[in-house]
Amino acid sequence: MNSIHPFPSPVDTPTGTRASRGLGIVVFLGMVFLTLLGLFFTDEDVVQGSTVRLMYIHVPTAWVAYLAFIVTAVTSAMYMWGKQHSLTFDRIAGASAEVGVIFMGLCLVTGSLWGRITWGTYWQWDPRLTTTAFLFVTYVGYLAVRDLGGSHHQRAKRSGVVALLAVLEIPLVHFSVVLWRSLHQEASVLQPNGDVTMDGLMLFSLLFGVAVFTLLFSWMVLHRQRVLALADAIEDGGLETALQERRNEAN
Amino acid sequence: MDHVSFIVGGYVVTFIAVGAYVLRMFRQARKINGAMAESDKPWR
Amino acid sequence: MTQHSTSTMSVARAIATKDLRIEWRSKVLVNQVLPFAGIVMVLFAFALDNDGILQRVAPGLVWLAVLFSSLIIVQRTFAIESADNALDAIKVAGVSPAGVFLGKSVALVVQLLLFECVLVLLSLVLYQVQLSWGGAVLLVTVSFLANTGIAAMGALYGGLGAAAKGRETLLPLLLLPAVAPVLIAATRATESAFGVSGATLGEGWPWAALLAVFGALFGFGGTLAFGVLTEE
Repeated sequence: MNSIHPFPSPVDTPTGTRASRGLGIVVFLGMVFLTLLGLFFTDEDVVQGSTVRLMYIHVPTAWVAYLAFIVTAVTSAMYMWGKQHSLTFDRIAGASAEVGVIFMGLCLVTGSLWGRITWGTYWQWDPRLTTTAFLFVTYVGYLAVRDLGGSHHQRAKRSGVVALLAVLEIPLVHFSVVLWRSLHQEASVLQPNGDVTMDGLMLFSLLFGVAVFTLLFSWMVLHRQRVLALADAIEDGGLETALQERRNEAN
Repeated sequence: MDHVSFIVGGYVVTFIAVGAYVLRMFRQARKINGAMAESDKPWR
Repeated sequence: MTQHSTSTMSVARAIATKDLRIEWRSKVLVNQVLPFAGIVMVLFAFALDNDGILQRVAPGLVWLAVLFSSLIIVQRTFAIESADNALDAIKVAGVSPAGVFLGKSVALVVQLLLFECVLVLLSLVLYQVQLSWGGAVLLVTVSFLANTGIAAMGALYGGLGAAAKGRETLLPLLLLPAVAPVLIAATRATESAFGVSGATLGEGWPWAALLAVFGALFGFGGTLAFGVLTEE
């Protein structure tokens, strides 16, 4: 959506290619259309009323967030067990986790806005919500591990291990929260779910939103991953320059 | 439409967050770009 | 192969006894960290200020105090090493990282057990909870199983923080979300052991099983991952 923005030489970013620009334009148009669909073209839901309109962005953000963490786990594994130990996989993992954290945050925000209208509270200790919050915190930790410093391969190994551990952690968190809630059931508020029967246009809008957000995700990760590659290269270059200066001093 | 502020707010927050992230990313890219040779960018 | 596995176990034993001996001699744990845990228990009582509530939430408070203390204990376990760059020396000597991980974990399990004994005794006195013999058996089992999980995660993420020097502040952010299932399961099991919140003794044992799964999973995962995490 930001392939066109009002800044000097807007379209010419160093990480852009013709293909990525094309994708950016498609994403931008898709987002505009999704907004029109969500806010104006679709009808209100019989059960949920107007709150269903929040679903058209909430569900896609949730989908992208979980997708992002799957991508992070898979690319981390590809780095760890690949023969080349290619840093590209590590950078895709990092980029994907970063974008995932953004969308997980948005998922929590839009979800709690929806909850405030529907349940009357911003937060419920529902297993899905709680697990999502834990996932968010876990990946904030993952990003902090990436910032620890050291060589690129050190970063890749450490964060790869953390990403794979998170894959073990999250189901356990979810399982224990489910058990926890099943013992302390509170029948305080009526909880209509998001999963209700939908008419054709509403279902289309939901699926369209998921598709557009998936494209947005790939566009963001594509660029982010290239920016990370630039940053890595600069760091390497900077190190070489510093070493060269040292050598010159010594001679 | 009921709850307009909540619903529109949800859309606005999403677009602003994504937009801000992308802007920051591009700004960083432009900053580092000056010190880079074109040959170091395999996607070019 | 047999040679290697025995050396891993002997490394583990050496590291564990070394760590425990250091703690035994320095008394930092007993003189400083244990009183901290006690203060936390008293502060909980000040904050909640109601005997009925205190009794009901006592299991959760015990385990929160354990988790907070575990952060300090884990940091200390690795501070001993990084003080003289001992971790580097161990690495240079080619000692099996799995052995180091297991040794550190065992030492942590023992230290945490000491804390749990004191904290449970404190909760009996300060929060007026009751403990039957059956409850005590459950509680000891749960403490041991919960400790394996906390120790495994603590040794892993503590080692990660120690390998990246000066970034120990990262430990709580990584460790606390990871051990959340332990907090949930151990608290529920302890409710059964104390017989509060209407929990019966039998309800506690499935939670102990969950703790066993957690401990086994991360004990195994940590043994594999520790070398990679602390690698230079």
